[in-house]
Amino acid sequence: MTPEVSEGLLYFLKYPLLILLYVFLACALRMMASALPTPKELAARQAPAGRPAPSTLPVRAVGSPRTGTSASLEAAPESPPPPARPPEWGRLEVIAGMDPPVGGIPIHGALLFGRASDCPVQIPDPFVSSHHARLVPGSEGVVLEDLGSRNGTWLGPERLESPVRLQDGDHFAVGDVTFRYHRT
Amino acid sequence: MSERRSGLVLMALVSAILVLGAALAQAGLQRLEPPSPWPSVGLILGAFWIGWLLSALRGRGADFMLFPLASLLCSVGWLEVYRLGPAIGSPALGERQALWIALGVGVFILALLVPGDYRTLEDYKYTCLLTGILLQVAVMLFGTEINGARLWFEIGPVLFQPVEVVKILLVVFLAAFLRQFRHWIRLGLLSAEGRLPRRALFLLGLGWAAAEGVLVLQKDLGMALLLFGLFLSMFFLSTGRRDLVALAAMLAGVGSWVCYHLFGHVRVRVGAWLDPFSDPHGQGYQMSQALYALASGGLDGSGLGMGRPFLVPEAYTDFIFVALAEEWGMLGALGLLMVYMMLVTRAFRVALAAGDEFGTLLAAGLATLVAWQTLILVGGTVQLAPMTGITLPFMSYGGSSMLANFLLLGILWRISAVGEVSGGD
Repeated sequence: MTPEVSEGLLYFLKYPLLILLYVFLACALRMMASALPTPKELAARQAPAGRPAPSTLPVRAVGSPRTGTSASLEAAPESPPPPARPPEWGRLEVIAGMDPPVGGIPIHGALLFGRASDCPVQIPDPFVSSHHARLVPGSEGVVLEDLGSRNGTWLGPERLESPVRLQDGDHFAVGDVTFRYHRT
Repeated sequence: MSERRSGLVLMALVSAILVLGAALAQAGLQRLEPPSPWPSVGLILGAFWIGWLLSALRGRGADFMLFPLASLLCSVGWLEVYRLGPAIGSPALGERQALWIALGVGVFILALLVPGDYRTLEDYKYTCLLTGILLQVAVMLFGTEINGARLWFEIGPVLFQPVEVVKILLVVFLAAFLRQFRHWIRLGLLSAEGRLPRRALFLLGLGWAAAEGVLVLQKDLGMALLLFGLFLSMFFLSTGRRDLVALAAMLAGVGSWVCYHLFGHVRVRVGAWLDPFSDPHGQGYQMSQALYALASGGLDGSGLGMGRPFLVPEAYTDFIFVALAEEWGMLGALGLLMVYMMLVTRAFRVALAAGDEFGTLLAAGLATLVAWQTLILVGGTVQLAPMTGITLPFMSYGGSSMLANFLLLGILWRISAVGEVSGGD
């Protein structure tokens, strides 16, 4: 049998319990806040500048690293202006997922899609693999090939299982970005 | 401060709250001669520390706050359950709840230790869907009826509530299904082709039918709300289609209106919600008692064991939030809501850091599940929404919900562990 405790004392003993609860809350909130990126880190993450762009870079996507939906596509500051000669293998139009570059992406040779910085079409989306897919022009036409990406390359509603020759007007998706292929 | 030390600080605070609370509750209940709380407290603390140690040792980079936050909710919930036990004539309630918490932590540990990758769950999506539907149908046909609702199976001495497991199965199915067809849903509709969004409409129709079916056949308003909320949230998270979500919400509105006019039990529920004091001794009894309890709690509460939360029917399960608000006051209740908020925020963080689409959708789905469930239940007990019979995650008395919630926590933890490891590729 526990000793009798007066009700008056018990009434005031509820405060230490409440205080403990709020100490827990304060600690947890501070830990959560310290795990958030600082404004400086956030700025550095959103504009991965400083790295000189490879000279082959015709376009590059920069933008929200998380969703990818608000990504914008713009010419990298250091890259030379796109060659003026007409593309031999047609062009890609961006129809969703990033702000399309004027005139689309010309296909002059093989094009690599991915998150890595050495990709001519860089898509900073966590759902895009480092080297995600590639377009290879050949005598038969332009072939789209998935490079074993985790979330796949999608031709229309179908996941790409093997390389496919693109027809005029086909659209395909890498991550959240959707492209349409034009032969001319 | 390293993550491990942060976790240690949080766990120490949880232990202090549990020990102090147990002492206060025992003293506050002295006239009722309650059973000693200490064996149960020892069992719970042992389980918590083993669970925390294992998760801290195994998961480098895994989320270190999920487990401490959940254990705080469990502790506070246990204190109220222990305190209510002697007052409602079943003094062993606290001991049983302590056992369920320990078993729940066991499920969490199991989820940590199972070898393999959580992504294999994706291959079992139709199995999950089928199991879920079968469990729901089976409980409708063969379940034990309690308080006019068939929601339980009686297995030996315990009652098993399959809904708790079905919710998680449903999240797994939706995450896998939406992962597969997300692009399709996004691309194919109202786009240049002018095709009808058949698959999206099929999916939304399915969710709508499931929610209405639960409402009509099982008379389970809370589950129907939860199912539909979960469904719409996940659909929106994966596709970003506002128009279809709005369409589905409108359909749900029409469905609710029809149900209100067709079925008596829905009208009774809504009536008890909108105006409990018109029938304070009948249909509105629970709600009006709950409002009295909230009012008498005031800002800082009556103190553990000093209030009269046992006057509210079902205070230890559905209305545990009201019992808490009476004895811990508005300060305690708001603090607890903040803990829920942090838990959900951390779960969304896990979703954002997950390396693959399935992991993101699964974690976000589990986060919305906890969020909706808390929202619906707390809203129901403070007269913001119709009163419903679902449990408050980690707090309400009940074995099925405790085990299921720790399973959910374990899955989240697994996703966070993989997400951090493979983030650098």
